[in-house]
Amino acid sequence: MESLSPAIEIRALHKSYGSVKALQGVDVTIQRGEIFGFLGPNGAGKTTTIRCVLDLIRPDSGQMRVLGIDPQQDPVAVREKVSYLPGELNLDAGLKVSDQLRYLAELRGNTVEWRYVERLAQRFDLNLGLRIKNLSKGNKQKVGIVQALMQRSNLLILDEPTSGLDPLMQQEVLKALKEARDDGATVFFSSHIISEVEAIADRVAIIRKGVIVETVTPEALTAMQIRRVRVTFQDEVTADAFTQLAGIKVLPQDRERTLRFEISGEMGAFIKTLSRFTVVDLEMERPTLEEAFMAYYQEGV
Amino acid sequence: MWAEYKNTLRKLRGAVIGWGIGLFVYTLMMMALFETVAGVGLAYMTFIDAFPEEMWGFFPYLDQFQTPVGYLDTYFFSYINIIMGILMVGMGAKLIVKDEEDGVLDLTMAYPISRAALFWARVLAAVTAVSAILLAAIAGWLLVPKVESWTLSTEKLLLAHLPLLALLLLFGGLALLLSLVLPSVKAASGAAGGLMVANYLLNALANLDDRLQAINQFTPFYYYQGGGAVDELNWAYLAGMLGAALLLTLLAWWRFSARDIRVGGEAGWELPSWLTLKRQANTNNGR
Repeated sequence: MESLSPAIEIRALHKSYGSVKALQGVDVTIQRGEIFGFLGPNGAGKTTTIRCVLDLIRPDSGQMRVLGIDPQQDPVAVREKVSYLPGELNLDAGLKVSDQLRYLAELRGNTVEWRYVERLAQRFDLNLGLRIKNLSKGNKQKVGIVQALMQRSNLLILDEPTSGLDPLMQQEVLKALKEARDDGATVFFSSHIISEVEAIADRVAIIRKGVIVETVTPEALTAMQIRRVRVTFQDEVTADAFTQLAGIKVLPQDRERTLRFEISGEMGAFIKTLSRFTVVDLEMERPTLEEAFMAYYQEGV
Repeated sequence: MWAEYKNTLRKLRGAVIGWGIGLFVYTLMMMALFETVAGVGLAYMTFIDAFPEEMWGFFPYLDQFQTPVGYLDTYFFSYINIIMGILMVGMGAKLIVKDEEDGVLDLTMAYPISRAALFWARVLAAVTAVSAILLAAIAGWLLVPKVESWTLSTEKLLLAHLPLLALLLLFGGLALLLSLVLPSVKAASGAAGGLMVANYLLNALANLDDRLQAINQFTPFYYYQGGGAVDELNWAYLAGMLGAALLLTLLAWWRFSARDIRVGGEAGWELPSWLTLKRQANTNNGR
């Protein structure tokens, strides 16, 4: 029966902290063997959902099954099959990295292959001999990544796994997650960075204010990718040439010989039109996820 | 569970080594000085007679300091309870919640260890740590060759430390329970420590004013024998204190097993709702 059940199944999950309603009926199903992105702005309920799944906190109501097991009925059985990286990773500052990992491996009953831990440390450029208190935020995050991967669990639950890492290391982590998926694991990871989720997820749930707004494919995320572009031209250019393009919104002008745009979706047509003019400067910024949501759902949903 | 027990003992080893060495040296020195102090005799008794009456509340065996019972009570059991109590209250309050405040417990509890295993492994490690400290103190008493006037058997000396252990476990259990109810380690250690000191003072005053015994008999220090246990250990008192310690620890376990593991950013660092019902009701009535 277990092999047929989804990796994670959550129904009508509610959780409040006093008067704050953190989750207001989360429904999501994650199939085995997929990389599932959990996207939402800060405070949307990503971490609360994950912590309910691991029985670190108890929901007010709702049902959950993790690999066919109810985490409230048998949390240890769930945790035997799951590796977790917390969003706010804190480690025992007095320990060396190797001692911290050995302690965590002991909690798993010493089923971790230490050579594999050393290989992971080498891959993520992590010195096992250093004390935790001497590590930078990025290196602490690497310890978190290694401890999550060292067990080769059936299910990886990672809360903002690339937080604090440099771009190269972020890519290495995302690559490692893809490899874990290829080896048969399910990866459930949260993020507030659209491009990161888009890069590796098979499916994405978007959570906002404690409710799953939508479950989409990465392609659909592209439509949400709004960008703000400021273009300075050599000569005065009117916005007429751009107003007819799909997905382009002309913003109020703030300087001479400069136009501002908000672009959603593909940029090909915009760049083609832009090439007809002499461009002196071009600045582009990606808005926050919350702004992207607002634009995508037109302030309403 | 073994991994967690070992890890907790590792965290407590600084306290065990520091307190253990300190108490070992102290008891070693006091044992070596017994013959000298006991031999002072009449002159010292005259000096003691000049002490204010209130002193007798804190040191009830002061007039017997030339005997092993009075000596042990006056120089060890009568105040080591409050000194080691401070250690135990801190240890109890930090045992679970320090890791929670530091954000470390979130990761630990995501590993395949049940809340029961984690809780009892840590409690067992704390009991081991405090027992080791007391054993170091006992070693100090035992290592000095005994003089003729030291008439106490080793067995009686060992048993006399049991009420101290029970009292420490009781206040450690109280601090542990409060840490799981109150919003922080500081609040829990402050409350438990305050109750312990208040009880210590009440007990001393009750030794001077019998009317206070009516209240004092409901407090742990009333059942703490101190040097009196050297003469004859009251097993019923000892069992009562150990039972109370176990009850407090069981309540702490019940609380820990039922509540959320807190992390920063979530509204977990507040008094539990059942403690704030009255305030909420008042607020609602006011609306």
